Amino acid sequence: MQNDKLKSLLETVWTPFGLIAGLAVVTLFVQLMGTGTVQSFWTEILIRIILVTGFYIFIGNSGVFAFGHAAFACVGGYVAAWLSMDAMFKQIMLTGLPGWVQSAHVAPWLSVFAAMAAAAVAALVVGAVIVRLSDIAASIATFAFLLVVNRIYSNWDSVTGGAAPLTNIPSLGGIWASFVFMAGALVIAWLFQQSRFGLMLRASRDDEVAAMATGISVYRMRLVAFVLSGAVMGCGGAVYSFFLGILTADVFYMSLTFLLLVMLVVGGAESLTGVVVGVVAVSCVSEVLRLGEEGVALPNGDMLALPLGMQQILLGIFMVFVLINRADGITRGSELPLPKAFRKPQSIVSGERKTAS
Amino acid sequence: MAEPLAETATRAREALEIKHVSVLFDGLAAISDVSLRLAPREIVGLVGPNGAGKTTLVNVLTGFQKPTKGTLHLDGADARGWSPARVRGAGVARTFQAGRLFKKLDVLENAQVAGIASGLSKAGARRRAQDVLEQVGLADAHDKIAGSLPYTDQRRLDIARALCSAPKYILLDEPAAGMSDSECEELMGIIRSLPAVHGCAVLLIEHNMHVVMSLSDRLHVLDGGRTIIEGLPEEVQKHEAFLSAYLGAEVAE
Repeated sequence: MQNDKLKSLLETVWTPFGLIAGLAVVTLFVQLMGTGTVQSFWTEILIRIILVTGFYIFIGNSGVFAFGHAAFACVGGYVAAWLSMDAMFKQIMLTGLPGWVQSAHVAPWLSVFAAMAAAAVAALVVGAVIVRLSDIAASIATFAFLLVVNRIYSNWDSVTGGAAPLTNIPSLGGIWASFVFMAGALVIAWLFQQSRFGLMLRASRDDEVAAMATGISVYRMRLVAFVLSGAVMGCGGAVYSFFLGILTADVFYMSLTFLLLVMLVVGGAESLTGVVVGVVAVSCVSEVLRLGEEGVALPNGDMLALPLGMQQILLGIFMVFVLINRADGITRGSELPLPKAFRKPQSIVSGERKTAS
Repeated sequence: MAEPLAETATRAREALEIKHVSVLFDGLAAISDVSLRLAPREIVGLVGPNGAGKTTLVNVLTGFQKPTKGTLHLDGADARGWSPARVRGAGVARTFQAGRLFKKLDVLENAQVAGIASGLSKAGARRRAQDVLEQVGLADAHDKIAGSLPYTDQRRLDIARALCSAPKYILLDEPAAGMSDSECEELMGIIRSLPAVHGCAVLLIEHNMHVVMSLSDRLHVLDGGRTIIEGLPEEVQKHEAFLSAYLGAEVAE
């Protein structure tokens, strides 16, 4: 019995624990050994994990593809920037902001939570409408929402700076600050998918009609996931804007959406492990391609480089290649397996070891 | 209308009941003027050839199909226009011809989620799921992914899932389809025990005459969307209209 309990506890916490521990080891390694470039490359990976986790909480559990989540990152990113930036700059440049926001000077880490709250509220309002729609209509509507948010943030000069980027956004801290929020996002996603809401939502993902017949309010479950995923996107957007130090609405637009969705699909949209695997795999491939575009110097002084734009094209081909071979992504929807040593505790009954039949 | 008021009230309180229900699809009647009553703890067989309107009737009774005409009452409450989830919450569970399991969840989760949806805690729903799975003979399959189960186990899991939310009425849509004789016998044992063990009434849609005849307290025969006979199994069995409409169609297939 004791063993069973231990086993089920271990099974319950293993996935987030294993993922976070693995990422911590790499982060430590990068911090000790890596150059500045490598460090910022890895920090960006950690932030992308937050953002893809945001997509995943809704898409992975509900099975409904939502294309508009970058909008919540945009909402969160701007809230974090508004709250934490230098008051003087805001008073001169962002005259449309309310007075208390102009004079606010909130610590960056604290403003991440404000960003989450703001994004969650936005997700609640938008989700209450969108989640009622059928699958494809919902996907298109989320995309339309992204366009609307981008247009507003790109043009509301007195509040967002419009086309002129916000600059001098303070930094959140080192690589570990991003790591902590990344770990938090993974834990939130895991708790949700293990919760009663998560289970009901995943049931509806597999068969909506049977879910209704089982008494599940599919609408309510989807809305809960939508709001939670919006909050995590807000967190990712905030951390990302602190990482970049400079912000325009276009940061959270098409190319980011495309990149994050590729990561989710390549890793496997139906498992949290798939999120981490997808982000790391696609980031590495795309980094290699970026270096390829920069080119290498040949001994005779010529540069050998991929034509510009090849990064996107080859990334697309990479995604197609993965999907042809593994339609459900690299992880095929399964989670990080428990190490063999823990998987099936040997049945030890009162000190005696059962003989294997 | 001639019935005494008190008697009508008692009758109405404890039953899943439709009266004079018609369902039209684009003007075509799938069922016309059908009345059916399922009282607590009885087993009613619903039979008829393919296309007779049996599944449409189940859809009406579970809130998936709003009747064009007629009434639906659940324990006295007017349930016409309720959502499937609400009907389910009020105690009516169903299974599906096509199985419709949550195929990426494991067996235990499939059953557990039904208990959760009915308001049990995760742990409570898990215990209930374990009990029910044991009763339907799936105790050894907890960790299997539902979509990977053999066909007959999928049928049993579908029934287990319906039972996990403690329904008062359970509607089984062709549970024995595709089962061998011995599997049928096992299934019949499970269905027969439902009123006593789970306290629920059963509406059994089934083509297998042996199964329906030996389990049902009453039979309701549909053909072409209309009720052609109602009665005790032995009465219905002798009825000429039943033989020609139902068995005739079966033989003709």
